[in-house]
Amino acid sequence: MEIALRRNWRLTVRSVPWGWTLAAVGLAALLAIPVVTVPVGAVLAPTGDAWTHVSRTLLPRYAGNTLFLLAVSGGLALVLGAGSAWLVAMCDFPGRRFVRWALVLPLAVPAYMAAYVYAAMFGVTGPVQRVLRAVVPGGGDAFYYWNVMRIEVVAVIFALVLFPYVYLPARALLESRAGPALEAARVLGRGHLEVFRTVGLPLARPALAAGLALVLMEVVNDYGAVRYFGVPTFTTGIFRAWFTLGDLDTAVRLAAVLMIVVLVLLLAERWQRGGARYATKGGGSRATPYPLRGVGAAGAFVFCAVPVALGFAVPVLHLAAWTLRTGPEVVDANFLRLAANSLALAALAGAAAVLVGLVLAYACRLDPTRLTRAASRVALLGYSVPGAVIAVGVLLVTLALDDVLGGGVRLVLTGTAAALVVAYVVRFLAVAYLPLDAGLDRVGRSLGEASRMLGVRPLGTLLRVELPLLRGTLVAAGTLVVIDVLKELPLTLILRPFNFDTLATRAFQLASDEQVAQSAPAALLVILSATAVVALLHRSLRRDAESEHAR
Amino acid sequence: MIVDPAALPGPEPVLRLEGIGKRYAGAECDALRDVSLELGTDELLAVVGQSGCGKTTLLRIVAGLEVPDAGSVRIGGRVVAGDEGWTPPERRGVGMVFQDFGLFPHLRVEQNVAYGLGRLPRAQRRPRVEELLELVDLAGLGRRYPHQLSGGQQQRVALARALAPEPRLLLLDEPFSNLDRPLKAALRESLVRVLRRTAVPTLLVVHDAEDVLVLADRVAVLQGGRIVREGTPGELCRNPGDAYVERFFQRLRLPDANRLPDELPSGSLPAGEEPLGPA
Repeated sequence: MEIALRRNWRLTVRSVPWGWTLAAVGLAALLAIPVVTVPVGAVLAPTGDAWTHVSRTLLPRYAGNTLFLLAVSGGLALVLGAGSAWLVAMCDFPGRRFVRWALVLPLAVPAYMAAYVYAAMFGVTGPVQRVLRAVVPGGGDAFYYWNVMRIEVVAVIFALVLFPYVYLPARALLESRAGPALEAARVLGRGHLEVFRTVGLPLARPALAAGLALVLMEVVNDYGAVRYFGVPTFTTGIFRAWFTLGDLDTAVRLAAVLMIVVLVLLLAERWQRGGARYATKGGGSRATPYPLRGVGAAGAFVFCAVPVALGFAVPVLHLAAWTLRTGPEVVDANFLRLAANSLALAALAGAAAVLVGLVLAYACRLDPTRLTRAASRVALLGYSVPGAVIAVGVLLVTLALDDVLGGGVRLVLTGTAAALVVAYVVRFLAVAYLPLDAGLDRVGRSLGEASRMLGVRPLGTLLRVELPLLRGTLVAAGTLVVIDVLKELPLTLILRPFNFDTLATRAFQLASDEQVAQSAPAALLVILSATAVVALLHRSLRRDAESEHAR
Repeated sequence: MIVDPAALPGPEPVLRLEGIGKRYAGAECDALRDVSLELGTDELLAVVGQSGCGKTTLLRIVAGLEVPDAGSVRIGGRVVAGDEGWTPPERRGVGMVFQDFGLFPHLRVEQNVAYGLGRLPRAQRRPRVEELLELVDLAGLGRRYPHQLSGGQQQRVALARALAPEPRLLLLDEPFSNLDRPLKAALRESLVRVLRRTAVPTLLVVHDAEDVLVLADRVAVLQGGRIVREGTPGELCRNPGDAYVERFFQRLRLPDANRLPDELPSGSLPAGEEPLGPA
């Protein structure tokens, strides 16, 4: 009884100074403001004529198109991702090791850049239709003047560049954890496809759901591809409202509706996973693979190689061909300055994200309470929020602040690089946080505790013990953010300072102005840097997996 | 904050625990219940018990790495955890040797030892490090990195590092659990020698009866989060008074029942095949 009563002093006495906890909570609150502002702003916004018009005539179209894209891209990505993961993890066929690695590469290609390539290739004047018309008798037939700018094509393009989000977690699960269960099923006399259906799929379901959620988030986030193909969605609606109509209220409301879509997706993923965390813990090993021969082996290879070709090789080669043609004319001092600008901005955002992520992750270590955990979860929210929505939120906040700071006349914050960097951190903090958090886990508690027992305070401990040990992780975390910022389009388009371009916005604008070949050098530069990082990341993932096995 | 010394009988102990209670969030039962202990100057107190009985929790509460739910911790008469306040680990003046040693892998041996010497003027750090390395018989190995040392050498680096800032109190968490058995006797010898020479009051946690007999002046037996027996090793051996304590020391009972284990020369004891307690 007495113990129960005296426990109360724990509420006032803490093993950690408040500083770290307060910093974490403060940062989380700051990063949550742009996200929270959107629904609040949407409720408060006056109902103008524009919104009435949009909600009556356009909203159903936006919703219909977005849902169609979600369904088709999601379904196709699931088939490609789960199928290739199964083949790579469970079967042996010539070329398996190559596709196992190459299946990750499409992640390096932003959907809008793939969209430019495919629109050009399959367009009426593109090489494919020209060849078909020339080769097939009766080539002038209207059939061969097929309009490629269709929503179905966009959906397929999304699936081709996004399916690795499903492939990666599914493969990881099948290779490492599910081995014993799968072998048991085989010993019990089940056939290959039956094992896939009755054991593989249910086991991989949480991984598939998580990967699918990422795919769908990216679909909702896209602006460049749907815009280029003329498919009106929520994102293009937000742009139209803000840039064409100058109606921020309507933009905010559309952004809020888009947030509801995302929320539903997240809840669906949660529900799918449910209590089903039966990914068996600890080290299972890879099940003995099914050896495939002849037609089976060829089929498996084709199934895995085609998405790699269409999602990575074809866009990259095509962009490379364009670059050869237009490069000498496009790549001048201006272009180099643009590249340097982009990189500097991305590096700034990367450094900021690493710093913020480190404070949050370390505060969670020092003070492992519900408060700090909640803070980091809130701070990571932005990762599931589409870039356009975050941009609208930042816009609302900076415009309101400018009213105060500039007396309603001057724009102090709106359209500055600072606002843009904050928005990047809101959107991509999770990309830096997750590796940092895992890194701190790897270093473990006892080194930090030893340091504090020797009289060094938490900040000194972080600087002298954890940071030197995490140097590689810091660089990796920052680089991942840099790549995401380089690829980012919608948020940058809305928030960039006047007359400021990044590689991505320049590529987008040139493509929109029917100068798609001129956009290739910028696009190719972005994709190649992303490819380098994706490849390196995949290698380090494998190293982690191997060391986990060794343990 | 300061306790009136007149109110306490006798000299103030270096460490005084009163009514310590601790339950981890989500745990079914208390890790520690109403634990009270005292550690005098020059004393070497061993806390023994099965794994999972709360020994390490006790050590971590003294260190300031865990906050007790109830009770108070006084070091040198000052409350460092309790109703009257809280002192974070870095300001307690307590040294600790961790079970896994906790050596900083990116720092050389000498940098590890010098880590806690921040308050010492720069010029005095080097001689102090040399002095400590000599004390633990590692003179000349200062330029190595921890991974270039054997387990026993690593432990001595950890000991030198913990002793460097001249702590008021030393905590040792299972000092031998990470070392090979054949090495143990020799290492124990050198540990005893260093501890006696530096005369730092020490609280150590062990699960091996033999270690207790060789190292400790006094023993506290922790079981189910409570202290069930306390006394000198000789007393507990002669008069266990508790089934668990009896079993704990049973292995050391020699055919010659009249000879008390604490009179034996160390190293000649029959070593138990395994640490005591349920596997």
